Amino acid sequence: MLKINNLSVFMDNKKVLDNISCSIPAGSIVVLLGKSGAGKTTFLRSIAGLNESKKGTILLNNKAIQQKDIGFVPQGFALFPQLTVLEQCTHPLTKTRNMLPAIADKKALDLLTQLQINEFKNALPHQLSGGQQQRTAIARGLCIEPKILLLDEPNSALDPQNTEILIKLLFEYAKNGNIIICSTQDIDLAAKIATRCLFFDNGCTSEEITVSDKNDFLEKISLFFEKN
Amino acid sequence: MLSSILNNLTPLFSGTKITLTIWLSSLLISITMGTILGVVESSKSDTNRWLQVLTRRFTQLIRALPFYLQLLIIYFAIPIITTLNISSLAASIISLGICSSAYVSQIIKQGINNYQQSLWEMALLLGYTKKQALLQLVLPEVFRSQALSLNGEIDQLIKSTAVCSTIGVLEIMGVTRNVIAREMNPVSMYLNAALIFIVISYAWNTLSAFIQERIKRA
Repeated sequence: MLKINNLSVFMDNKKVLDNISCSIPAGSIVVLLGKSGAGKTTFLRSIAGLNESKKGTILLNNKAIQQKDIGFVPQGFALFPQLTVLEQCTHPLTKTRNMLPAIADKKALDLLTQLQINEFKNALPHQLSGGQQQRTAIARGLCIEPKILLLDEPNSALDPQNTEILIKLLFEYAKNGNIIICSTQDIDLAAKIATRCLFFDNGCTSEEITVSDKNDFLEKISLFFEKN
Repeated sequence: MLSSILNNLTPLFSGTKITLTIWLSSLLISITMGTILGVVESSKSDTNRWLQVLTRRFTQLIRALPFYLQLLIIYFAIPIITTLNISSLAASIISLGICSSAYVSQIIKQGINNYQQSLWEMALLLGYTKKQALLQLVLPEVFRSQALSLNGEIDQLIKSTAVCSTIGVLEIMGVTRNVIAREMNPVSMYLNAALIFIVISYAWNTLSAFIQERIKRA
């Protein structure tokens, strides 16, 4: 269970996230919805520990959240320019988690195959298209097996077929008791994957819902975007 | 000109050897020290603030002084102050290495500062320590992105070795001056010296272009 209590974030003395609290059970896929600049990325960065100026607590199973618990797929992908697609996944495993290279290779190749980019395993990021870069970043995020996977607009460069593959992977990952928090502008993706949803407006969460009925959820999304 | 080369082949060969020794040894000092200085200067950590100030002042001071003056200070002044005897060759290597390291540090500093903040953050999030991220991810990329500037500095270093003849080092210029004093043939000997520098510089630039091309294709 991930518990966020009274989270506020400040940038240049301005409050950009205001007193956000929520509880996310293991196995959930939480979708963050809201207009650009509403605070979704800031919320993800705060959970990842990338915002220095913040108040409030973030606890995972009643303990302070640790870096090894987090996997982050940022909007800009943040791929290391000198590492190949395969190395983007295996380098962190062998260098920071002391995994044997053969095991790391097998694990990475399995994910790259699922995401259909194994044929580019020896390519450098600048030799890839935006979609291929995004799939590499997703593979890296999944490879380290974090308890909480944070995704910022994970299908912004993906075609419908690859989005379907991503959805399948996310369901499988959440089924193993991991938490996925995903910011998106894509209502279709949100409707397909969300088990819970947080609506963001001006740095505040205006509503938190548990998704039980997809039609009801789509209606709520439409209402939210009409109001904002 | 050909006859002057053939007549003075042995001293010119030995001069070239000494020039290459000064160049390669000072290059080692320059890159090692320059990288350390550049890393310290670009550090955003508050814990080493005093070290950063010290490093910045040091590189400013070195860049403010002409290399010729630094060479004279190390060869003549340091032995008087410390009673430490330094050979002219060692003084040349040390002063040239230190002088160049100040410029290399600025190239490295710029490369580190240009390294995307998001990549630093990602490295730390993936579990790399700051040291691991710096050595395994950031510096290799900095050397790659700053290859052109570093090449320029290394090329300049070859030419700067000529100044070392002023303290009696028998590198290419030292040998050339000795031969001219003996044989009174300045035109051909200066052209000989120019030819040797051109060959060394051309060889380095060809090698450097080859390495850069390989890095680009890798």
